[in-house]
Amino acid sequence: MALFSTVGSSTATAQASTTGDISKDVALNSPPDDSVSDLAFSPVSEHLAVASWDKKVRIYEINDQGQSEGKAFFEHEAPVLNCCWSPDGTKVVGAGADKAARMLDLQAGTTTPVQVAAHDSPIRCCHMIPNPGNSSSPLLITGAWDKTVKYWDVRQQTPIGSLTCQERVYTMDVKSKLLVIGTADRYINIVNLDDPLKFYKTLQSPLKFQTRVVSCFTDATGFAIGSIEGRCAIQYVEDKDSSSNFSFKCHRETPPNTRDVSNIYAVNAISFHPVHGTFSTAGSDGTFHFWDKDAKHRLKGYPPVGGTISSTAFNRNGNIFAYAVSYDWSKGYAHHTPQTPNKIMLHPVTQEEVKPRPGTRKTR
Amino acid sequence: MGKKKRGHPDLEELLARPWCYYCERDFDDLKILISHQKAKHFKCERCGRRLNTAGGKSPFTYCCLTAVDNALPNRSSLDIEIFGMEGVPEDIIQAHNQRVLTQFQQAEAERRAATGNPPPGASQGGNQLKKPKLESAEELKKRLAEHKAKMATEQTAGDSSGEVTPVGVGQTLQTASGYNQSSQFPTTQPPFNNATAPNQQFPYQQQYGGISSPYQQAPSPVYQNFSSNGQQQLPASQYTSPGLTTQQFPAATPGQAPAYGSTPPPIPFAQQQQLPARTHTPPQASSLFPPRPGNLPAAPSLPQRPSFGAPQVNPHLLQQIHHAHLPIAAGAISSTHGPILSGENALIVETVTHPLAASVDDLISGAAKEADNAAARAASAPKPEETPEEKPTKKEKSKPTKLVYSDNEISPEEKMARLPRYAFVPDRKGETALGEAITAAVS
Repeated sequence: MALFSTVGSSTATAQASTTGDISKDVALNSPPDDSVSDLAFSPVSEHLAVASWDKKVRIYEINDQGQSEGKAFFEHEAPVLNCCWSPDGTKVVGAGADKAARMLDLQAGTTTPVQVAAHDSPIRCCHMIPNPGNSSSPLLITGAWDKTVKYWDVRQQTPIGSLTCQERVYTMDVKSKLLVIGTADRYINIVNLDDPLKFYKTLQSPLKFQTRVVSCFTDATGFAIGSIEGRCAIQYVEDKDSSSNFSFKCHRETPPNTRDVSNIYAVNAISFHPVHGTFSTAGSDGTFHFWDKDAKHRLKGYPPVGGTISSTAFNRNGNIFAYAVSYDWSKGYAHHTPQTPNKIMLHPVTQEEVKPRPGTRKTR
Repeated sequence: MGKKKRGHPDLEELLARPWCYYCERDFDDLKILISHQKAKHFKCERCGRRLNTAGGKSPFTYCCLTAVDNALPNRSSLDIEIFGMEGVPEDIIQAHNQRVLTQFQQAEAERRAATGNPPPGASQGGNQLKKPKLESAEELKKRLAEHKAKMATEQTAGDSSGEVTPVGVGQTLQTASGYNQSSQFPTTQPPFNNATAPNQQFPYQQQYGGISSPYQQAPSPVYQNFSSNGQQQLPASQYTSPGLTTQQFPAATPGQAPAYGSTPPPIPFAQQQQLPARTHTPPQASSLFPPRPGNLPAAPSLPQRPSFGAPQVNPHLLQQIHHAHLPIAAGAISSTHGPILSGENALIVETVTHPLAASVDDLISGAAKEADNAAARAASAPKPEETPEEKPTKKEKSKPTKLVYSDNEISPEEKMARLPRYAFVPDRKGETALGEAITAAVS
């Protein structure tokens, strides 16, 4: 698909350098008024859902030129912390600090979302998976700061299942049958969705600091963990692959004037490329990078985008990389000024940026 | 990797340099030499003319000199017609070359002393006699087998390095019990007794003390627990003639025992130990062996070589000593990682299996490399799992904190959600939607 066709071809020529070009990135039109908490691309179309601290979930449509247009939005009673799409791309769910998850059915033509989940505390994450029994009605998984993960049939008031975690749920990701839950105090729970009501495996994060994000591999054999301490771990689910586990440092910098101090930023977002299995990390340092976990090297780094990156997403075929430049609160209230940028950028992805380089790929 | 550019010239280069017959200076090329000669030696002082040769001066009797200016005393004659390098008598050339050669060798030796590089060509060890160690294939195989067996037992038993030392051949097994050798540690030397080294650093085998009195033991950290199975593995450092017993071995690695004078020294310590520039010719050795330019200098990463008082050792023994000498040092250096003895043994195997390479030199460089590697390992050890490089970023932040978000317990979102601005005040007003165009159809 020749998305952003004009710019895509020109960036392809600048392959040799490891520093990527963000000058061709296109800003999303009419972004949210407040910080962006989550981005999610539709699994079937070029629509982007954006959850924001301004209590709204917005849905944008992106055309081939990278231009965007707001198509729908719905509102929570409190900041929205996460959003997701149903597998068929017809529904968008937002999960928020109002302890509720709300779903908007885009086909129904309404503007009013339906509350589809409730927790005792703000809901931090939500994901939708196909319902094995009824494909038209997906299941919703929500994880909240009340330390529970609940499964919902969106047509029912009560959860169809629930998991109690050790700590507050901070992050969750799903890929096919793999559900990974990252909680406070560095617990990582792995759930096989064929047996969704028990933990397939529980481990402590290999990283020594608070888990910020987990993200499943494209092939669902493992997941990546990002921590607040500028580090990213690659973790395989099965023990037989454990020799391939590793972690690496990222999103750190030594300020130019003080050489002995290095600032370590949180890794806020990890997104796996849906086609190539490479992944991006983005952090509070305001940079994002593309990595190849199998070759254990960085494919591309990008210059600072001007503000902290709170969330990232690849679209369904991996030719758009969206990143939200908005304040992630990593430096506290004082740094949240009106000058803090708040925007969503669309980066046209060329094959060279995300494709594993031939010859460097290691066999596992 | 390209060949490293050396900072010093080759012998060939030196010999090829043109030089001035009159003053023995050498020059980069002939042109400079000729202009030098014209200016220095062939210039008529009175008329200032520069002549091409000394003989050229002769016609100008009124102003020419009877001798060449600025020349060495015996070279000032006008009899020999010199132009550049032309006309220099053969014997003088020979003498010059000889001198260049000596200078070169001296420089080379100094360089080796400074750098610790082994001399080219292999077969000389530090104080070693030139006689090569020759073993038959059977002997080699036998020793290799012995060694393998020893290693195997070490592996299976999981022994400490000290216990691996074979007991036998008039040798007692000693690890920490080496402290019992009271004669080895005269209490009159308090500075050396308070060394806080691990036990395994004192495996002083007093085997030869028991057998033949001339061999005083001067245990060295370097040559610690070196095992002797009677064949080749004599602790190298432990031989001193009774008259010259003070041997101090500067600590090779931190934490090792410094040094132990084995018997009250008839010769003051300082005189013998702190030979500051112990370069290539140990003083004692020089009495035995003529100084050779290729004599092994002290490698910087290795401990100082013991200054042997000419030991009353039979040549065979001595040869073995020297053969065993460097491998031990190598083992000692590598000892920061893993059992000392195993490393040492491995290196011994190496010497055993390549006797003709007389790999002492290789071992020095090998030991140096190993030390480097060890250092590199040590340096890289704390973060072995970080494969991709750290990313350089440019965002500036002057705060000298390490973690930008340092609260390990609570996520930023939680803090954010607690702010009054984002606080959730449940009001049952019901969901409302502002009037903005909403298109439902998503393809």
